[in-house]
Amino acid sequence: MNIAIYTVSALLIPFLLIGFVQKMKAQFQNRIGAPLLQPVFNIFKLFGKNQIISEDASGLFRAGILINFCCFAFLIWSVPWLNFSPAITNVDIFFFVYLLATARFFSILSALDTGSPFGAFAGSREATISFLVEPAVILCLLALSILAGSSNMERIFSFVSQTQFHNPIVWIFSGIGLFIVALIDLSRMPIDDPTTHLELTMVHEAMTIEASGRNLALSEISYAFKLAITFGLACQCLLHGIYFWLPNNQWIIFALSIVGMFALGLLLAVLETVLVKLKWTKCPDFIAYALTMGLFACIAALGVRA
Amino acid sequence: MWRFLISGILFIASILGIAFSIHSIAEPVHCSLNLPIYLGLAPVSFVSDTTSSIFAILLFALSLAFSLFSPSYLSNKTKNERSLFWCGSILFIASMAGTLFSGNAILFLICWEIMSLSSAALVASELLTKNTAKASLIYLSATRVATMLLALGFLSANKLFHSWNFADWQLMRPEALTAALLIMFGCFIKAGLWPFHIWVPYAYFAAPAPVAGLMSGAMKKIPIFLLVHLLCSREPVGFAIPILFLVLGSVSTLWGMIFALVQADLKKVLAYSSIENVGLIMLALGAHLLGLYLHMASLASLFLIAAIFHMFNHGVFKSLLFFASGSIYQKAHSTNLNDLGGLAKRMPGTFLLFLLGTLALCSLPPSNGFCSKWLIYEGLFQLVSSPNVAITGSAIIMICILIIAGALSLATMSKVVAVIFLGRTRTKLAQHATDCGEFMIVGQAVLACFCILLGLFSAPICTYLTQVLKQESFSSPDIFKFTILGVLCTGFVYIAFLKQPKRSSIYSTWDCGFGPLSKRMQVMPGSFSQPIAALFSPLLRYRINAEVSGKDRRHFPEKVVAESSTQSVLESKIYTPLVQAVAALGKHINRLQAGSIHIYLFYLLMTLLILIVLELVR
Repeated sequence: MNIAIYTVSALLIPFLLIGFVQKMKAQFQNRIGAPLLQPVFNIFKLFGKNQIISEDASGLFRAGILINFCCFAFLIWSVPWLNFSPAITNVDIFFFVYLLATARFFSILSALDTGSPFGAFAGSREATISFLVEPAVILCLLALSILAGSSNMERIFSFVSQTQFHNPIVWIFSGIGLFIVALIDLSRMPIDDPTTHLELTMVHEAMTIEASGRNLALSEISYAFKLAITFGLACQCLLHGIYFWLPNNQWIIFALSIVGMFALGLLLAVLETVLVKLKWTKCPDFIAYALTMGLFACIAALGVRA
Repeated sequence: MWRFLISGILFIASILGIAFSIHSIAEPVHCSLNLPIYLGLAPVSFVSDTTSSIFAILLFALSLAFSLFSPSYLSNKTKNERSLFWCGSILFIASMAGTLFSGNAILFLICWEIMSLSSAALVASELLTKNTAKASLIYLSATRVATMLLALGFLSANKLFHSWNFADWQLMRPEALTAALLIMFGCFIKAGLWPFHIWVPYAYFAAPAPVAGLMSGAMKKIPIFLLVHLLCSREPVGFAIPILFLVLGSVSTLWGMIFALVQADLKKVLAYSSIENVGLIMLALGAHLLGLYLHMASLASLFLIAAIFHMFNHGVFKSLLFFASGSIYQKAHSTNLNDLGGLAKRMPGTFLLFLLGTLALCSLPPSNGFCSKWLIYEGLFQLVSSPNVAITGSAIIMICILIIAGALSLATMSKVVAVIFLGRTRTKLAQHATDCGEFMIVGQAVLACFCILLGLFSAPICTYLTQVLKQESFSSPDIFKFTILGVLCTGFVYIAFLKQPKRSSIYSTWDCGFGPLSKRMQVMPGSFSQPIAALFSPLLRYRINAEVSGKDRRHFPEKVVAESSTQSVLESKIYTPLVQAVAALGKHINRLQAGSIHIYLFYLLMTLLILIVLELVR
């Protein structure tokens, strides 16, 4: 049952979410925008296309993209980004963070493999961002696991342990923290502009600059999965925060989770319409907000326990 | 010819050693040699118990790989260098085994001295080709201080317990605090823990790569063995010692990785990362002692197993990486990151093994490095749930430190792998590199196999260690299922989507339409790590001196030079003044030794007078 839910959701929601954000951004700019399913069409198109590989690339270029994709494919079945317990159980927060790091390691290596200066710049930025953002992620998740008394992801996001320690503040702080982390990790607006075509300033798009055809399709899919996982976790946190007002029906909460993810997508579209990209040297200051949220959440969680 | 004979003997001896250690894990073996040489105070007696056997398995596994790797590594050395290498390394390995199995403190100290001196000789062994004099002096003085502290500690412990046998010593008792602290600091210096780590990058950089592998993989574990042996019994050692371990361990973890990031040489990167790993082990040991103090038995045993397991893992993957640096040095004639590049196509075997080692170093799943780090995280998480707020807070801080160190190691090692193996070759040095000989590859492959096996079977290994060390059982995380799943998933995606793509063409890297990229347009190691290094600039003394000159310097500069520099604060601000002060003091003392017989007679007379006066006063 859970496997089916996660499979269907993983195949639909990530792509719809990307399409939705693009559609909303277009609407805010008074354009009609691409159809909602455009990301899916793009991926099908890319699978049919010819792939070009740099003559300087070693085997690691393709292997890195493949491993990056597999990490996210594994995560999307094992992280409770929906309110059901995931298909693969027993993943704890440290494993989650380190699996993200593995994906990142291989994506950096495949960006650097071609000897392209663009990919290298992006790889360097990605390493820096991950270094800044990982403490924030772990603090947010740690706060929640202090509440749950377990570092197991599915037990943290289970809606059951809430009867013991129900504390909306921790959940809301963590939710906001994880949302900011999602913006940073997905290289969205205040950190990086995904729509410019000036690769010198970019993070994610410049890392995949040498990928084409199927390789590009795989990295697009892993990006979509990452979006779904991070937004899903943030949304689950926020839903746990307002648990008191929610009806006790799994399917309603499921619907609300999906609606919540799309609401966060809408927020992202608004942010991307009104915000400008930060100067690179200002990025650590912005990331500090996520860290602060994580710290607040931890302190609140310790307070609740005491 | 000779070197193959010696390495063959070493190979067989290592296998026998492993077999003996595995056998003696379960049942301790005592053996007292009734030699004509009595060590003055204690007999020559050897004991092998569970702890020493576990450490000995690591030592012999590394010497096995060493014996396979070294002969080919020595192929282009002179005869003198070779004979020094073999004499030194056999003494080195034998004395390490001696320290592990020695039954009393005197024998331990003798073996420890032989170990220190033989490794110092090995560090200096490339004296003629590389400028290693400074490195070996620094290393030698660090070992002198370590030995002195250790000897003092042993003496005071002997005074308390009236025995030279380790088994009779109970350093956890409060009156033995001085002895415990002296021994601890001796061990910290030898293990290269912050702030005593100054010698580590010098020594590992100067030593031949296989020796550096042994030093980092096995020698650094001897002081840890002594600490485990003496301090980690079932009784708590007070509150101060665990805190000392935890603080020094966490600072070391962070400090090592921050400095590893900005190093320009592969061996120095590895050296600083081994400072990080020793910090991690000490942190786990400290948490073990803290757990004992708090009477949380299962937590304490989790940390002890984590420390021992990480020690094992670190030994294996760090030696693998040092060996790989040796084969890079042999084929590309440099380990400077700025000189290398594009070796993945030229040395595919070394590349694959290096990548495996890197995964373990960055502790990425499913490697063995991750498994032991996971145990430490699990333990720290249990500390977070403890009722004491101070402990909870410090556990959260330690988790953050470990995460930051992990992210830094990811940044460092992705840079290292990329600039050595990926892209294009940066200089002519590495252009004609080919993969190294079969034996060198096999030597590394043995270690890589250990890495994989230790990772896959981490849960059964931990359970086994818990049983033989007679610790409380705890639930250890299991990665086996995830690894198998991950490998299957990767294989499936590869076959389903990527194998034999319809059309695939090879073309040059995208160059923005400006014509072909040159090898100098690639990222340099310094520029890759600049964003993070700039964040740590106060600590690293990181400066970039840029010079742009020319008539119209804004639009058409004629000369652009940029150079980044870092400085080790601890070395320049504390150790150098300290050494200078000692040297200056030494000069004054030197005046006493005037070289004139009259003055010496005068000294004698003065001494006599003082003694007489003292006697009269009494």
